[in-house]
This record gives sequence, C-alpha cells and structure tokens, in this order.
Amino acid sequence: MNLDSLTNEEQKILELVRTVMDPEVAVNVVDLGLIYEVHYQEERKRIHVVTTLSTRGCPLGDTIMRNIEVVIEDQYPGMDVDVELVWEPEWNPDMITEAGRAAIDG
Amino acid sequence: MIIVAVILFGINTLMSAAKTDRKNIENVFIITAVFWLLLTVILGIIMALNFAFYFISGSHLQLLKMHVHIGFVGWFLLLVIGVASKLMPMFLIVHKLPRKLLKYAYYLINAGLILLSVGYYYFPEIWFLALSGSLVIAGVILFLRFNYVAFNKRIRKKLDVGMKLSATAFILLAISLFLGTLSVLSPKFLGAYQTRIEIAYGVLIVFGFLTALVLGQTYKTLPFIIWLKKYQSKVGKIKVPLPMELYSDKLANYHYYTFVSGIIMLMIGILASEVIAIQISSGLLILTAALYNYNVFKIILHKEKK
Repeated sequence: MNLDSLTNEEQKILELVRTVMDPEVAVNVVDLGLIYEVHYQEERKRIHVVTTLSTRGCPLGDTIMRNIEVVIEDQYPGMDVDVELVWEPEWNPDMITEAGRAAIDG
Repeated sequence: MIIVAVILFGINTLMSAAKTDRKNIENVFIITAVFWLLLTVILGIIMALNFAFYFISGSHLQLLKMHVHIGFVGWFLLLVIGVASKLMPMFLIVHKLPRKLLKYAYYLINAGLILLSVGYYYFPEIWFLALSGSLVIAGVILFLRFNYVAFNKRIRKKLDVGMKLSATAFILLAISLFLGTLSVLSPKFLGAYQTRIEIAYGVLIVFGFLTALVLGQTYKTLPFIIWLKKYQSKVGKIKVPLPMELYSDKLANYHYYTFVSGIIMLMIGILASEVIAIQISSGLLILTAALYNYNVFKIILHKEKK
C-alpha cells in the first residue's frame, strides 16, 4: 500500500476517488479503506489504482470499480486508467478511517 | 412437470455452485436445501396420488407433518441460513465470525430433519420426535448465535429498516422455536392452551418470521436491483441517488412498527382466544401490507434522473 507516500498528483487522484460512494453504506471508498494504491505514471500515460471490496461476490463491485474509472478518466483525458481489483491483503473493518466510521453511523 | 421444473432448478443451482472457486458452508447450505426441495415436491405429489389410488397405508396426517417439516426446515430454513450467513455479515460490515457454528448447525439440522422425517412415519413416539426436533432446534440456536455475534461485532451500529426487520425476523424465529418445542413436548400443564400454542407456532413462523424476513430483505435487495438497472452506466457521470433514496424510509419505519404491533396483538389474540385482539392485529397487518406495497411500487416505478 502506498497511500502514505503519494505524490501531489496521486493525492489529487485519491481526492477524486473519494467522491465514489459505496451505494450500500453511503460512505466513500477511500474512507472505507478499499483503496490500497494509487500510481500516476506520466511517461506511460497510465493511472493505476489498486482496490479491493469489503466482501467477495459483492453485487455492487463492478459498479464501484467502473465509478472509480469514470471519475478519473473525466479529469485525466488521454490517460490510460487501470483499476485493479485485489483480494490480498484481505479487507477488514480496521481499515475504515475515523471519518468512515463516523459516516457509517451518521 | 413440477418435478421436472424442480430438477431443472436444481441443475441450474448446482451448475452455478460448480463455477465458484470458493467452497464454503453458505454454498453447502443452499445446495442441500435444493435437494430437500426436490424431496418435498416428490413427497407432496406422492401424497396427492395417494388420495386417489391409496397405495400407502398409514396415517396421512403423519405424511403431511413429514412433508411440512421437510419443506420448511429442509428447503426454506436451510436456504435462509445459507443466504443470511453470507448477507447479514456483509450488511452489518463485520468480519472474523465463528464460522464453525454454521458447520455444527448444518450437521445438527440435517441429522435432526432426517430422523424427524423417518420418525413421523415409522416411529411417531413423542420421545423420538422430541429428540430429533431438539437436534434441529440446537442447530438453529447455533445459527442464531452466529447472528448474535455478528450483530454485536458490527461496525454499522445504526440499523436501517431492512436490517431492523431482518433482526426482528430472527427474534420471532427464536420465539417460534420455543412454541414449537412446547407443541412437540405437549406438557400436561398446558391443558387447553396446547392447541392454541400449536396454532401460535404455525402462525408465528409464517406471519412472523417469514413475513418479517421478506419485508426486511426486500429493502436490502429490490432498491439495489432497480438502482443497478437505472444507474449502473451513469455513476460518476451524473449525480445519482443512493439506492436507499428510492423508497420512503419514513413509511418503511411506520410499517415496521405496525407490523411488530400487529404480530404482538395476533399472538395475544391466539393465546388468549380474544377475537378483538385478532381483529386489531388484522387491521395493523393490512396497514403494514399497504405501506409496504406503496414502497415496493415506488421502487419498481422509480423514474431515473436524466
């Protein structure tokens, strides 16, 4: 996971991804701890986001991933946006941020 | 034709299960439930034919009890446990649950159901049926314990109306089990209440447990199905509503209270043999149905935002 050492551009991308909500809990995917890595590779014209889901077989998984892709593509036309789904490390509730916990019980 | 339909359904389910790379206990519950469904249908048809041709001697009532329990416990309950064990932790946002409880529940319920089915026809002695039934009950208690742990460990403390109704369904299931145990054991002190408790047991399972579960899970599934259909291709491009905004949460909460009050009045009415209580409960349950239907149609007829 590289979220603690993001470049300015990667931080901007993360903020874009923060607008993507999990429709079931109405909390954004960053605060839910679903985003593991964000890579901005200018020379390769590629943005790579590594993400997971809170549970396998989540029926909203495809929609969430597509949503991440769309919000980035919208702001970075001409870049190749690759949203990769991984299951390791396995997501657990400890990955939810304080803001995410507050929003869940909002 | 019914048997062929069920067999086709079973094949479809097995083929879906074979595609998954994760063989977990939830899937095993669902696959086993399909086998019990097939048995339920076959037994039902045999019973119907027996009315016309009378080729099975013995009590038809015992066969009917076998049929009802295989259908309810084997098909419906196993299916509910399989689906709920997956969905409840997902909706409550909780991990690392004691899944061994589910395995023990699986073995206990199936062993109990096999013994109960055989016992109803070949060995309808109270002690044998009570022993078989207690295995099923022990299994269901373990499943309820699994849900209780999930409920206590949940991150999402505030329950939405779908989860409130689902949690209520499991509480009603626990009460049904208690009434069912009394029905089977039929202790002498029950006296005239024996029949009323038997009626309350059946009514609470259908109008209480099953209804609460259907009402609750409607709100956890239908809005998402419609939302995906209407907005899947639009997320990120336009501001889309959340699935929970497709229905009136206020009305759903109203019918949660009318439903719970209706069930309490119904139980009072049956156990105390009070017609007025049953009439009040009918009114409350009709109101529940009306509000629920309003919300269901509001979801189904939702007009997407352009």
